[in-house]
Amino acid sequence: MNKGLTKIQIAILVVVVIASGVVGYIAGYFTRPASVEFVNIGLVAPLSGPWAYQGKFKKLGCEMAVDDINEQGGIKSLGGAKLVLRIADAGSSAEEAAAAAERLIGTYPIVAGIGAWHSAFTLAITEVTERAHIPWLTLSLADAITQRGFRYVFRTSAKSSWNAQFGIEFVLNMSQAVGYTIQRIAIVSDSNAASVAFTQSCKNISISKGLEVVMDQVWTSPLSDATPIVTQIKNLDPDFLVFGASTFVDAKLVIDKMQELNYRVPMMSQGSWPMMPPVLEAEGPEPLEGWMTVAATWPRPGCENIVQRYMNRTGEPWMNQDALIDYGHVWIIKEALERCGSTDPTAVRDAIAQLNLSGNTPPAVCFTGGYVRFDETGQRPGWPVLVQWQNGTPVSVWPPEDALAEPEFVT
Amino acid sequence: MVEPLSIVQYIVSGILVGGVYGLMTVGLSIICGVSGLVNFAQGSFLMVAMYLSYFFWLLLGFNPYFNIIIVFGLFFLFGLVIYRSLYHPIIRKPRASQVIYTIGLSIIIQNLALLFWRADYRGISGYASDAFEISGIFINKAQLVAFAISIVATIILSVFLKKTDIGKAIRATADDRENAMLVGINVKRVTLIAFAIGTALEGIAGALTAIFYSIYPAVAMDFIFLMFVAMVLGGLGSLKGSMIGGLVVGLVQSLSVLVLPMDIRNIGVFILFLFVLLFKPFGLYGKQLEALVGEK
Repeated sequence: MNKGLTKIQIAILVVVVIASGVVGYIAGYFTRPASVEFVNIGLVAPLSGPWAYQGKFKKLGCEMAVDDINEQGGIKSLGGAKLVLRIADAGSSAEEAAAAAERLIGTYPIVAGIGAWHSAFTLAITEVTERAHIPWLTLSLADAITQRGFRYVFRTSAKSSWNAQFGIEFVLNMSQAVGYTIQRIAIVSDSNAASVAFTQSCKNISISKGLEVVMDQVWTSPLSDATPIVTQIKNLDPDFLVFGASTFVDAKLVIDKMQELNYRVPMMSQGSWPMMPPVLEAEGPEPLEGWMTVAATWPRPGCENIVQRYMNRTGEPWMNQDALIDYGHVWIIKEALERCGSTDPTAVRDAIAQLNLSGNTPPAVCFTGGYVRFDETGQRPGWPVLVQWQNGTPVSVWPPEDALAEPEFVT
Repeated sequence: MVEPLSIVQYIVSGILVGGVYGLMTVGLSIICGVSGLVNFAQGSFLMVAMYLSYFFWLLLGFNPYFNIIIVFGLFFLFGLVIYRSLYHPIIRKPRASQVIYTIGLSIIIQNLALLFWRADYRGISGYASDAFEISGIFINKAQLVAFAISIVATIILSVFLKKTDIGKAIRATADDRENAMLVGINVKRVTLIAFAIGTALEGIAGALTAIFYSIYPAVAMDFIFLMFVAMVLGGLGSLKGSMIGGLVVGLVQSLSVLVLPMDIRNIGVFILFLFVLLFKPFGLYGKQLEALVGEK
């Protein structure tokens, strides 16, 4: 019996080993990350028209994140490739926004994108980006954005229907914490669809929690005089006011009239617009003191360095929701690129879907709760944050893990 | 049930706001009365005046009440220039062309404002909420001053039109343009001056409104329809009618919440408007103006 290998067996073995090595080398050569110099990411935001002011902050947040990432060595898994921000103006209508998205992805090899602030714009452009299989990150509130079965859409903010729920719960928890009693609630709103949806949800939740809704008024914007509204509120003297104005024009009239009638009530709105610098410029700090709003995010513990650098580079008096959340969005794309090591949008999409990040570094620190992960619909499970004017500065006050200041009920 | 004190408060606020509507309308009315021009860009003039007053306050630290004088002067000159350059060529054109032309002009002015001043909401802080109380009724100081200035400006204009030669020429031109020409009135010059006066009054109204209202490029849309309603309600070409038309619009807006839901409160204004037109087709104090009858 021959116990050793025959010469033929040895030869076959050598050939197999060498062939395996060659095949492995070739496979490795063709499957290794392509050497890329730049990675294009898109931003579609309103930079003209009535929402240009909000678009400006989105741009500032994205630009700062891109600069930070590039200064720190770019995308390491892609050989230090630099991020390049490609910006398109969403204009003032959903049609313009969709056309801008079409042009953007038709012009540049976009691996992922961000936008477009207004829910109607986001609904329109994500039809385009979904067809093109480009992952898209948004803060827009409309529930429908993540309820269409789209695979490439990711939302980091709490959706609209959650804002009222969390808003009322936060206010009640806050009032208990500071010893302020809320039993009677007044609700006033303009007839804007988003405002009515928010205030009516607040009304239903308030009733379900045993609160007495003493006033529920809707006006058609613009108001010319707030006397009838404020007089009614003052006469009823509620413990809390849900203030569903969606424009500063109406809000200014109501706040001025409250001042004029020497009346003040703790109140809450929705969205980041009440916390914009022009509101402070037009009203001064005193009339705004205590006014709260439900925002998607706001500078929270751990964001101090980001906020300070943002203020230094932009000259803005504070960092707001739109700048901070888009700063975080760019970092989400960065983390996904690091994990997938590819510029294939579908690979980036899969990497975003699998992210599970937390801690005091971006992107996690930019979002309420300090984490980033998404459910199967692309929605980040989370909550909004209550932001309040205090001494001429808007600060996060609730929930405690996202707060930088103690809440106050100013009466 | 609304408390009686609240109703008085509504009336006071309605009258004060209505006074400013009245001044806005007087400017529109004098232009319409003399030239026959239905100037849809008048709201945009108001917007520019609001911005001017705002920037004088913000950048130069001027008192917003003092700005009224500056804006009045600047807008008089602006009226002269813009009439000679942009309005004079269309003054004899068909009415439909004038309407489309002035709407187009209004859109251009608004977009230029958007370009240069952005879409931000702005406002003059520190004046809008000052008030004093009389027996539980709060009277807004800014609106009271605006109301008083509106009334005084209208009275001065009225005296000017009755007592001065140029004022009489303006009235004569508004009454009968061709006969005014026949008696030797230089109607072109008169129309130019009337246009400048109307624009300057819009400047005062804008500077006053800027003290208590938000300032932004599309602010004209908040007022232009109310101005036209007040003008037609009071009677085309009538200064007294325009002022009263403005007061009625302010009052009805304020009081209609007693009987109508707040989200449809403007319906009250338009229902009243329809009734007045039904029974007094030329408005409360109006007459059939030669300048507005027929195509020229």
